[in-house]
Amino acid sequence: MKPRSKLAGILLLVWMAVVIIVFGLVMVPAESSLARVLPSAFWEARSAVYTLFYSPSVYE
Amino acid sequence: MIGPLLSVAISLLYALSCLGLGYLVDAPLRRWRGHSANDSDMAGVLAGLASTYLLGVAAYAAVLTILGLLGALDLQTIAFSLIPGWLAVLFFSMRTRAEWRKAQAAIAALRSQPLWVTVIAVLLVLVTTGFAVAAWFTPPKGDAAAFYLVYPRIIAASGTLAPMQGTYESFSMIGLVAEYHFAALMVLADVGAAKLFIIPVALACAALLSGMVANAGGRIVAIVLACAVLLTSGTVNLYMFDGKVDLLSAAFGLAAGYWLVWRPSPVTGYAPYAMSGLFAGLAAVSKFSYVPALGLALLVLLLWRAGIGSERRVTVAAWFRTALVGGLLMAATTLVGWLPQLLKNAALFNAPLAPFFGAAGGEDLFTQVWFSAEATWKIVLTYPLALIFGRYPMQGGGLSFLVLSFLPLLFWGRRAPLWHRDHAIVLALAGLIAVLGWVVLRPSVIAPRYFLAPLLFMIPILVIKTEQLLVERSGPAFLRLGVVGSVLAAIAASCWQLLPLPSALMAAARGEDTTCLLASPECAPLRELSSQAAPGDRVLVATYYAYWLAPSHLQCRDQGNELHTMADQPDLVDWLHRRNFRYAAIDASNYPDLDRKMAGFAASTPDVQLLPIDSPTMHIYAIAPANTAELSCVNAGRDRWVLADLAP
Repeated sequence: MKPRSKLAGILLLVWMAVVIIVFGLVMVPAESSLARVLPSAFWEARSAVYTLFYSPSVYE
Repeated sequence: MIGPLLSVAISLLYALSCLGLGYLVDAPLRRWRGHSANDSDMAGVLAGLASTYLLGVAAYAAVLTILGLLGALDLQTIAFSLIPGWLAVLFFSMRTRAEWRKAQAAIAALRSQPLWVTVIAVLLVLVTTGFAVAAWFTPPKGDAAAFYLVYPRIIAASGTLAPMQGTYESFSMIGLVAEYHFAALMVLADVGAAKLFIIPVALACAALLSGMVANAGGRIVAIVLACAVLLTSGTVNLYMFDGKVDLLSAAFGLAAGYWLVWRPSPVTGYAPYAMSGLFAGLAAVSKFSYVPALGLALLVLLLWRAGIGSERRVTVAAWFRTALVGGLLMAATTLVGWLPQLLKNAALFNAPLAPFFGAAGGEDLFTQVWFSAEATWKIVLTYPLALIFGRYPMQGGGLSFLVLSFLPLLFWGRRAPLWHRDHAIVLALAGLIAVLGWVVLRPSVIAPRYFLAPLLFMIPILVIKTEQLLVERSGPAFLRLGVVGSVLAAIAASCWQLLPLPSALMAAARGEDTTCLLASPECAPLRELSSQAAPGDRVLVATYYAYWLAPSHLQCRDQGNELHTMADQPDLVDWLHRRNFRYAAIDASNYPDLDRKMAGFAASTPDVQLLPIDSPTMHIYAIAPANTAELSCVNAGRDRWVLADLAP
């Protein structure tokens, strides 16, 4: 195994983990029963990411 | 109410009849198009079967259109019309036994795959079963409770295809392919059986996507990964059980793409163009938003097939000629897919091309702007992430995050030697152009379900590259852990929507009334209203989600502009009396002014009474009868109700 290939593999692994984490952040609803369980840092991160992928509709 | 097992059995038998009818329609086409090298593969057989099934679904929808227009959608007629399909299944399944054996052997070959492949395949089967149970058990929600199961409920009760009344009147002009099947299954069984209709459609999507992957050179790992991407996409699994119809247009769209990359052996003839055009027409009639996006994608595939995709070298003149003839053939068969829709709109609205031309009320279907200019820019700038992570109102779920996880793998390892010969690259290019076209034409409409089929065209290249990495071991071993872990996480995330299901099923097993348990807040008050009101009592429905009203109340509800003009009436109570409304069901969150007015009348006049129904937002008002009524809701046979003028 070339070291370059190994480094690329590690970067890919990190990428896959980031994708899962971002998906987890946007998927958990704010009003869920998890609200009490998860730490406030999670909700701060969620708020930052969620606003990137949400806007109110003109119908609201 | 029929037993749960009977409901499931009827839905399965119904799907079998559609498959049989598909065999009958497909028989002459099959002779014309010949065979492909892939036809004996598992994916080839299953994709062919899916295509046949979808042809049957379309053909039977055409039969139901005619029966509906004749007012003959009753139990006996529908049951009788299913018999040819069952006979055809028996006949053709005997003739295609050899193909089935090959498919079974290929499925059995899963056991010889690495354990992680088998585990993912088994988990996908389990999660699909979970969505099937949810489809059968859970109540209609969202748009399904507003239109997609409401109209079929009215058609089933009345046995007649007539324009729907109320807020969604203009929606009666759209293509109703899945809705006819919902109505037929409601006549034969119940709403659970109707919702289950979408499960074989979703499986057809999986089979067609697998066929595309196999055509592009993918093997079993790529096929399993493609199914994982499909079934873990929120915009797919949500519509497997909620009662909406979006997956049928996606299945038709996938079939249209499948046939254009299908490779007959030898590469001759125009049959694939005809098949593709027919399915493109059906996709577009099932969801009008497919016209621009799928049209662009198919144009790319048509040009590729006509020239570059051929195994022989062709001159530019020959390419042009083949593309022209193929394109004309596609246009002709697209029209065939539209014929039942043209017939329906000609009969109901005297405007065959409605809602595009010739009818009022359809324009709002095409002029939708969902977001402000600022929000629209944000959406456009966050493509393609918005397709996966987007949580926008009305979006209806996104693509699986596996798309993003696998994306960098495209740049791993060897390049495709002949990009123009590579089906996967051409499909991805077609999908990409479709998405770009959509973003340009409808930037504020962020909804993958509106162009799902061309979006899925981009999956084969991703899963094939991932398969190369995993099977050829061209990357570090720990990368396989990353891929498998991502797939398992995506499957787990899909189960999120199923979490309330076990407790609801247990409540049902204990004998509790679970009808409204997982439904929207309108369920209980509207059911209570329908139980108190007499059949034929007029109800003014100021809520989007009217599914829970009785069929007679749905048919004689507010019509035309009644709901929107009532606020302008100088004497509202007198107007309600003259229009013969006996109840008003008002969603105070969406119609606050109307609710305030009615609450004021309830406090000041005995003619209006607020019913003591426990609901935070739905308020039900009873209106005393009066002898000034100008209209009456009368029974016109079976459970068909029409408004009659009482004026002399």
